[in-house]
Amino acid sequence: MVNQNPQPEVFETNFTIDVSAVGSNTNTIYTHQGHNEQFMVYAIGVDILNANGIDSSGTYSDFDLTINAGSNSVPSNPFDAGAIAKNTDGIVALTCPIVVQFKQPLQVRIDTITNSAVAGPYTVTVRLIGETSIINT
Amino acid sequence: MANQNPQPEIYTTRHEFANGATPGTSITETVFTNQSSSEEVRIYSISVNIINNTANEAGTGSSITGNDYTAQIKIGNNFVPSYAFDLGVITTMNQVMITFPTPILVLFQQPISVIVTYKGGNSSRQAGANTGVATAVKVSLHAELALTQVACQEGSMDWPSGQKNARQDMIDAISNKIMGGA
Repeated sequence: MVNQNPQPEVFETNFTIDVSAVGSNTNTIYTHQGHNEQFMVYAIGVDILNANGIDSSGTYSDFDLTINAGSNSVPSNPFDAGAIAKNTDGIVALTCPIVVQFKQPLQVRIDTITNSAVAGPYTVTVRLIGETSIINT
Repeated sequence: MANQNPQPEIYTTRHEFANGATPGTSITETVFTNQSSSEEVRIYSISVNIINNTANEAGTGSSITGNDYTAQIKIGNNFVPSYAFDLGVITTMNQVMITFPTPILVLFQQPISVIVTYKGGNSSRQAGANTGVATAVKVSLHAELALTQVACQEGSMDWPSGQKNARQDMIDAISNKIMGGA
C-alpha cells in the first residue's frame, strides 16, 4: 500500500555468487502493493562486489540478468548485467517501464556465465528503481 | 508477443573469439524478437561489454588489441546503420553505451543479426595481431516492443491517414474532371 501517490521505490536484492560453480540464482521481491496499485520499473542498477565489498566489475562481469513480472519475462530474454555494472552510474534506464500488477510476483534471476579465477564469494546487487502508484481508471 | 504495450526489451548477443583468432574474424549471432505481425521493435541504444580473457577476466579495454572490434547490425536484408562501427570506443565511454539519433526499426519477420568482427589492433586495417586470449564480446540492444500504431481518420477513405489509396485517386480524378479542375 502506498503512503503517497505516486511513491518512489528502490527494490534491492543481493545474490551471493559461488565462483566455483556456473549456475543461476533467483530472488523474489515483495512489492506490497494493493489491488488498485501498480508498480512500474524505470531503471535497473547492478553492482558486482568482491569479498571485501569493493567494486569488481572490471575484472568479473560475465552475468546475465532476467526479470520476471508475473509469469512472463520482461524484457523477454536474459540480458547482460556486466555492462550495467561497468557503467559509471551503475544504472541503465529502460526504454519504457516494466509494469507489475497486483498479485504478479516479481523475480530477479542472475545467471553466472563463466567462473572467476579470483577467489570469492562475490555479491551481485540488483536494484529495481521505479514507482508504485494507484491505477487511474 | 508483447506482454505489455509497450514492453522494454534488451537483446544481448554473445560473440566468442577463440585464443589466436586472426584479424578479420567475424562472428554472427541472431536475435529472436518473437514479435507478431502487429508488433514492431525499436532499438534506441547499444551497450557493449568485452570480456577480455573469459578464463580470467581482467584488463578489459586496456589494450588496443583487447577492444578492437567492430559491429554491424543487420535488420532483415539491410544493414542499419549502413556501415560497421567501432565497439572499442563504446567500452571506453563512461556510460558503456551509445544512443542512436533515431531508433532502428524492426518489423515483423525481419531477422536481426549482429556481426562482430575482430580488427586486430592495427589502425591501417592491415594484418594486426591475433587475439592473445579467448574473448567474449557481449552486445546489448536496448529496445522496446510495441503494437504498431496506425493513424486512422474515422469515415475517411484515405486510410491510413495521409496515404491515399487507388480508389481515392480515382474519385479525385473524376471529381476534377466534372468540376473542370486539373
